Amino acid sequence: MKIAYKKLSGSILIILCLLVITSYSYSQVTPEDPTSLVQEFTVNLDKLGNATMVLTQKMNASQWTTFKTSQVYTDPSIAKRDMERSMSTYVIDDFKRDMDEMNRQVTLTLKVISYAQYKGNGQWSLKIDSKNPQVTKLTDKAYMITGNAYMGNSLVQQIFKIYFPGGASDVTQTTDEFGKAIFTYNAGGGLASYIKWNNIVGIILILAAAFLFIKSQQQQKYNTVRV
Amino acid sequence: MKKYLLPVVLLVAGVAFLLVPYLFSSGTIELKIQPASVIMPAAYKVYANPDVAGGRYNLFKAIIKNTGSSEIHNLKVQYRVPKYIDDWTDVPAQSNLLPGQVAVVTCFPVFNQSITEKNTSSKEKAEVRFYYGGKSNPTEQDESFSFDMTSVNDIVFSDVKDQDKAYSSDGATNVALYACMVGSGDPIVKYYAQQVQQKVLQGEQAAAVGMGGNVDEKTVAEAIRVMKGVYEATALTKMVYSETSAGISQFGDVTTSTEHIRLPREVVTGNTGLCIELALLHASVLKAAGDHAVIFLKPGHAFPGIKLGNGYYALESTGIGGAGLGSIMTADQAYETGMKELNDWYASIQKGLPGYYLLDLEQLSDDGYKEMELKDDQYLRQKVDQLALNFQAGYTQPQQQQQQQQQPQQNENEETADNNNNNNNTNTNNTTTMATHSGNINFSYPASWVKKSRPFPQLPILVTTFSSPNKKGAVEIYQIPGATNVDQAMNYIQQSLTKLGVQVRYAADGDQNGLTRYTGTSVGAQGISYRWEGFLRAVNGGVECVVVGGGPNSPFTAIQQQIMATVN
Repeated sequence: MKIAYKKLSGSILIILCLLVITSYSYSQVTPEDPTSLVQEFTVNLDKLGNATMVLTQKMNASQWTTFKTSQVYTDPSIAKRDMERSMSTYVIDDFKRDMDEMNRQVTLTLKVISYAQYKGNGQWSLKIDSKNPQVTKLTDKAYMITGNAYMGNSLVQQIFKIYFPGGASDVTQTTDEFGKAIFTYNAGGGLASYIKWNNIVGIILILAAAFLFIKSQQQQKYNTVRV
Repeated sequence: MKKYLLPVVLLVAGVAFLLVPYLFSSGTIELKIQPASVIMPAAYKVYANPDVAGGRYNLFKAIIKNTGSSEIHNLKVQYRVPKYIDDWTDVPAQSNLLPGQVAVVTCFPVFNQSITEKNTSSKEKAEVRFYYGGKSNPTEQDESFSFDMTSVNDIVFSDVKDQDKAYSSDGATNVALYACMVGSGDPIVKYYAQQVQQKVLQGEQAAAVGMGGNVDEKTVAEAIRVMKGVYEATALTKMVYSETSAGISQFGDVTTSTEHIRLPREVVTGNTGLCIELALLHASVLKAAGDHAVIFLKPGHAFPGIKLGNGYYALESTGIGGAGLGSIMTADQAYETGMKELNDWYASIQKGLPGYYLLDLEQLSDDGYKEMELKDDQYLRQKVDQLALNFQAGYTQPQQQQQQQQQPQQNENEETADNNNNNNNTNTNNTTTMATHSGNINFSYPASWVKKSRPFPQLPILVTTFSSPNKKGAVEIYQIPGATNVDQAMNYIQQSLTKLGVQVRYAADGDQNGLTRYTGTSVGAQGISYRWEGFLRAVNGGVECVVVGGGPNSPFTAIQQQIMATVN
């Protein structure tokens, strides 16, 4: 089973949390106000286990000035490259970056292939690599995970929302032996997966056979009574 | 009965429609494999761990797409690497794939510890097998790819494809793998650390770190004493700084610098090391002693240190001197120099200069960059015992070190040694500074000798030469891949040299340290005769030969005899 959250959020932090000089730095960096650094991750899972992610971060003027020196701002292709390297067990597609200069907000959109794992019979699983995360159920098909992450000397508040596929049911959250959250849900398999043309034709033919058989039986009974 | 014919036909047809996809179709997969271009044996524990660096240290990544119209069942991926992982081994993968679904399967190979015995580079092959489908219609697809496997001593600095390189830091993406070469758990290094603790430090005082990472002055003083003691141990054994081989290599789409690193046990027993090798040794001993060891990297240099509470302390481990480095520093001087370098390192970091890294070995270990495991070796323990005899004197006095600093440079020493031999006049005060070559066959040689790689393209089996500046002696390393025994290899060398106009005569001359020894002469086109001694050993995939050669028409000098004595 693959692990998702930490790798993803870690890599996003590397490129988004640009106010922070990485852990190799030991300069006297004044800690940022934790409440001013908030990242929102929105994850929409499709029926094949792929995820479309939208990551947004709104910054103040000082943070935006620092951000402008970062790779995400100056060279998003390198940011994409680094993200692919730090998420080597996934395939990343459709990487986009939108800048809202007026509101000092950056939005990254990407598609992560094979984010959730299919177990067969419509059962899916998604493991979150965050130990003892704070998980809140929003709806039957949506959950929210909140947490803080240190990058250098800065604390970043992270809000991670997962929206399961429209056809998903029985979404449950458990933890593994290491305290990491695992989501399981039903979607795309089971009975729904049997609605295919060959199955429909096959069932129609069997029903027709049954109908003709019963009709023949009744015809034989009627003939016997009349005799 | 005719009236039942139509229902039966319809029933059979209906069942057939339901079952045909399962009986005659097992789905279709579209497969794409992204293989590793190189595997470094020193990092074998890293490759086995999917959580390290986002999983980028893997053997291959397979992207499997179900392009069929039915669900794929019982998907299974297996791999093997002949000679290293002989059995077909499962790669964790989801067993079912819906039509149109993509699965990404990444292989984190679990190599046996014996991979650390690999001391040559080679081309290897990985085989991958994909199974899917039911029992009635199983499908199997085999794939394979080749990759480079380095020796256990090699570090490949980058894994960024050439087309993706943009910054200087892209050339050093693998520096964290240095942590795999730390030897705090190596039985030989632990034994060495024990000797240092007992005989140089004469015990340690327990250190105490308070709440919030605060440490008292006594604890800091003790930690610095230990750090200086480790340096002192290297100075007492007259360990010297020496270069090692490095180069540029191509691995698939990646062009990267590489370096041959002598492991801490080899630095101890060879009594020589490059800056990073000395830093690794210091860090290993400090870590074995329970300290929080770190290594500071900057462009072209590395130096060790410790983390104590929230503070860092550093020492210049190359202060022991060596070719091109000048005088020998006292432990105090090495510490002062190290702290000054640390301040410069901080300043460079603050300026955002590239190429400055901190290797926090505890943090790296927690992150999965685990040390390799090495086997115990009685022969190496004996070498440590011999070196530890130098520890009996305890700390070197500054006055003694001043005297050492006043000794002539190594080039002068070498000439003196040669002259002493010729005049049959021994002078024990004049010694030659020796460097050590570590490889399949190890030996020491004068540090002033000039090293060349592949000096004669027309003789590719001659891989390295070390020659005296005065042309009175040389050491040559030959590698004969494919040779099955030493006789065959010696014969091949003779034939190769004959083609170049050199007549070679040789005879077996017994064994030395597990090596087969030959003695011989070579006569060049001008009729000048050179006497030599050859030492051969079968290695993985061939035979390696080290030849210690004398000057033209002259007997072996004391230096050459000294080199021969060290070949092992």
